[in-house]
Amino acid sequence: MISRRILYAVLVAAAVLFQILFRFYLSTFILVFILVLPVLSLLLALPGLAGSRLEIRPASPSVVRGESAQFHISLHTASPFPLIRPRVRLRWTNQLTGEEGQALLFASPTKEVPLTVPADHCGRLVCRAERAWSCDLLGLFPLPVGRGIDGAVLVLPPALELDDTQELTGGQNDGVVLRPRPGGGPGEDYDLREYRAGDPLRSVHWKLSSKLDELVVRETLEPQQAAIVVTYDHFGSPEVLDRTFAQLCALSRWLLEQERPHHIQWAAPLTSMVEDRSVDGEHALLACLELAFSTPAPQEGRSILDGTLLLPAGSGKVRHLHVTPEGVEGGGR
Amino acid sequence: MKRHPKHPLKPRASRRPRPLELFTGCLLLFLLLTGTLWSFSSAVQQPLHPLLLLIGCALLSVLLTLICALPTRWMLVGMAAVLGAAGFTVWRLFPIMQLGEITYRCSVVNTVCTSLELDGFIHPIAQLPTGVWVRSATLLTLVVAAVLGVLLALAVVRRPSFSVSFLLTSPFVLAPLCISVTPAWLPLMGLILGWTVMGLGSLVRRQDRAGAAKLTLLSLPAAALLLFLLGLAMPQDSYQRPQWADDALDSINNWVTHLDVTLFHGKGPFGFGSGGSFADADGKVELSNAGPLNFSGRTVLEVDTDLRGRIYLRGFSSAVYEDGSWNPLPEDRYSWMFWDETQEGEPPSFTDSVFYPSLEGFQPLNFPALADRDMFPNKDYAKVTVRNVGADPGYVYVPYHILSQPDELSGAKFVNDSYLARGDDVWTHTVYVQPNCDPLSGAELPGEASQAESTYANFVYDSSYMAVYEDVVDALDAVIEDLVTDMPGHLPGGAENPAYQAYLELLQGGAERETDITRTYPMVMAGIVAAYLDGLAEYNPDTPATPEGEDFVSYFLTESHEGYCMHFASAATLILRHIGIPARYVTGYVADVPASGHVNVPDSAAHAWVEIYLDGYGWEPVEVTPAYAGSNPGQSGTVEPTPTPTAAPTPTATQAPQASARPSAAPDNPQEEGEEAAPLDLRFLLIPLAAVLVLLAFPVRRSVGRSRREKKFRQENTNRAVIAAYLHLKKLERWGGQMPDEVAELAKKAKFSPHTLTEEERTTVVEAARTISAQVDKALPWYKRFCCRYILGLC
Repeated sequence: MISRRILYAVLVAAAVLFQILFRFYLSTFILVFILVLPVLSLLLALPGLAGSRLEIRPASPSVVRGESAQFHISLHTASPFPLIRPRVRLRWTNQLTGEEGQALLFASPTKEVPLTVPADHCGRLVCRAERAWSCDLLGLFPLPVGRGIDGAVLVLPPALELDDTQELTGGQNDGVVLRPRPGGGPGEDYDLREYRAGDPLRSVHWKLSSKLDELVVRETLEPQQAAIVVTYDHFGSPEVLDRTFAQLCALSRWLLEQERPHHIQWAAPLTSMVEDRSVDGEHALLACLELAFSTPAPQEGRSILDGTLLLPAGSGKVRHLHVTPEGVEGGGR
Repeated sequence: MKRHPKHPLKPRASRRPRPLELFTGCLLLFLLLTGTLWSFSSAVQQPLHPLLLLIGCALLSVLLTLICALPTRWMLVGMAAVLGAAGFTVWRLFPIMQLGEITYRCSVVNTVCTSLELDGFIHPIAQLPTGVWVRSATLLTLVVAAVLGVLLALAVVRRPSFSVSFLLTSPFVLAPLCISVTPAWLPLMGLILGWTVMGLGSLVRRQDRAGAAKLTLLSLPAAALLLFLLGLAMPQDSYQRPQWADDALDSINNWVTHLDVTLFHGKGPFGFGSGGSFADADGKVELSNAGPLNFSGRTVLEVDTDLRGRIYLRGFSSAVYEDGSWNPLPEDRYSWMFWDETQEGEPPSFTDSVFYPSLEGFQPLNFPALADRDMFPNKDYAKVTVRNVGADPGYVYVPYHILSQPDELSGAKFVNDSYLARGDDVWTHTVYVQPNCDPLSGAELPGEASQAESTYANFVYDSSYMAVYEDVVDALDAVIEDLVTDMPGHLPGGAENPAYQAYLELLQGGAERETDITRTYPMVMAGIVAAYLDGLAEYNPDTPATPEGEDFVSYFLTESHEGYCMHFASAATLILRHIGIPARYVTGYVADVPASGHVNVPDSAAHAWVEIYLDGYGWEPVEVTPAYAGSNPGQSGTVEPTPTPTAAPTPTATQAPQASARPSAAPDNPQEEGEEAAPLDLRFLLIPLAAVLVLLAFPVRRSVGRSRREKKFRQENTNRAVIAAYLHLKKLERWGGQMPDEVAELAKKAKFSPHTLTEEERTTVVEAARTISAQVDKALPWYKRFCCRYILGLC
């Protein structure tokens, strides 16, 4: 656009020189026409702008660290007239590590333009259009184009095998407690209590009720395993975090394979407030990671071990596993 | 910043154009082809058959466009076929083509000669009917159109390129413009329209040729409308060239002159002289090539002075007339008069001339002022500052009766008794003059100055100031005979002529004292000579050059009887000498100083006049050119500011801006210019009117935005009012406004709850919106506030 502006300035200078050297009407007419031409150029460019909007779409919602994240930049326009030299300045940021970069590229209304971003560290890569603009026919004035919403890609750690799962399973029956089974039903272990409105009639222990002359309910109990809380420290260098999240994902997936839902907790680096997310499947794990990856991690911070854990509601005994870059601490060890 | 490759989708492949591209390309091809050829033919005033030309160009455009739609191989074959057809036409119709070439050649040559005022007009030898010439020229034009069309089709339809199409077509228009010839308006506008549309589409064509074709459909009528509206808004009939353009042209001319002096005549890289200063002026005037006067109008001198009215700015005087030119006196003729013992170099030799002692530092150009100063010591002197911006760089142009003596000058130096030379790199000079000096006032030079004048007077009467060139003697004798035999009969008005009346008065003893006689007699005779020349010859600025072999003055006095200031001044100088009055030829400028005291002297103000020598007084200028009759060169304006300048003679054409001694005719009269000034063009009122409307649009936009907002806030449905206030606050968030939680909650309630919000809740939200709006407005920097207030209407 600078070259076009210089060219136009040269054109104006030539017209002024022509006005000076040429004594007749044409020189003034040409000078005025050239001065008015940018307005015409601007007006003619406006129809192409109608309904124009930029879209940033990730090629896949997540990639594995070490690969490349790819975004597709496309331009939608509702006008039959073209946009002139639509360009977009993109900035991508790893929200976890704070790494960022930017690119300037030409968008096209007819074809998606790919943008490849290296995914060197775990985190959430957000690609945002800082500025999207077109220009008038002469290329003198920038005209804004709708920027649309940001695109985001999760950079997940590569799969990792846990070193010693035996130790993790060693104490799995510890802390078994009996808790009322929701919905009742048959069972060997039960407890008696007074009737409360809403209890089903078939749970009433009629024999004992007749003896005591008040309604007594037999509540079936079932053994419940201890809740597992997995913690990690949300700070450190990107490399440290990469290893930490690799261990965390490996542990979480292993627990899910063992059908052990668990909680992942970490301390927010700024407020030291404990973030707690329940993980009962792959989807929940990704949601948890997205939240974690969206939270910037400083180089230094306060360990979650220095504070208190958030105990899951209704849990009995809690097993606490702490993930470090080197492995998992706690469990049966 | 990572920069991705530009234009990832750049369609540079030379693909075949699509139907819409062909259609728009055909239109542009027709515009460019027709506009180019028609503009050129109209510029050279070559009549053509317009209908034939239009139809031919249209058919060619369609044919070439269709050829461009073919695959490359077949397209090349088609193009070759068109060129072959053109060649075949030339071969078969060669005699007609020759006629077309002849008529075009005549038109081009005659147009150039007309525009550049050259001789050499040509006409066809063959005497044929006009229609034959027109048809021949049209046919030749169509053949040229076929060749040009092939190239243009490639550059417009097949592979569109603005630069190539411009390069192909522009020479046909730029060539006439270079010689100040404007083509016919309609084809020129067509051509400009084609260029404009090609230029507007050049950027988008790189990325999307199909889109560019759509855009052409939009830009073609839009650009045509713009050209049409501009033509309406700027009618040619009332065109006035902007003053700034004239001023700029002056500046460029002056700059070029200074550059020329600096580079080629000064101390610059190519210089051989001394900065156009002391040694550069030669005091020569070439008369033999003095033809019709030309005029550029550029400024040559800028004068600031206390004087008002007409002043004569003296350049230099010439003493020796021979071989059709005025020359200075040889240096050795001055003997020791102007020798300064402090200066370097050999003292003047006087072996071949009479010895004249030194004037002791006195300068003859100061004599009249010194005499008048001695007699009227309390008279106010006047300051004159002259800046040389384009005149001959060798001279300092000063008014008459300068008081500044040789030792009081800086940046200038008297050269003998002839002129004041400019110092190195000094372009502005300030001198002091004694205004309103009158040689008949009885003023006498005091003491030593009187002795110096006496020495100089002897020199004047002994020197070439009395010499007459032999070839002119016969013509001068004839003049004397005319005056002696029948003086009144040769003067305009006969015996009633004022000069003749003064002559009679002088004969009847009108001068009481001896000094009066010695000064009155030359003055009266100068008047007689001026009147005689007025009656003998006609003032004509277009006087052609003197024929080769003829003497300039003799031819003027005996043959042509027409001329301008150079002719009159040269003749008068020699006539005065012939009747015994020392005289010399002077070159300079005439300026009319307005009440402001500042005047830009154009080159057209160059002039020539005569100086006669008055004993005991010095050189006194006299005007002998009829066009300047009434002017008194010796009366250098007045010190008292006058509202109007002295009446001037009729402005006439003037001489070329050549910085030589060749003068020109009378300058324009500023008073007349004022009277003839065009009335104010009311269209210029549109500009301030538009500015006012634009300024008013901003507060109106704010007011409209505010009223619409308040109307939404006050609407009957409280839920909608709250949502409107919420949306307004959302807009303000982009400008730094904070959305209160309570407002957000109430907005959600208004949107999603089936309940109707109360008036209190509406008031709460609306008040919050107003408060935050005011806060945002106050917190923003001025440019954002302007945008927020007057463009978006948010605050």
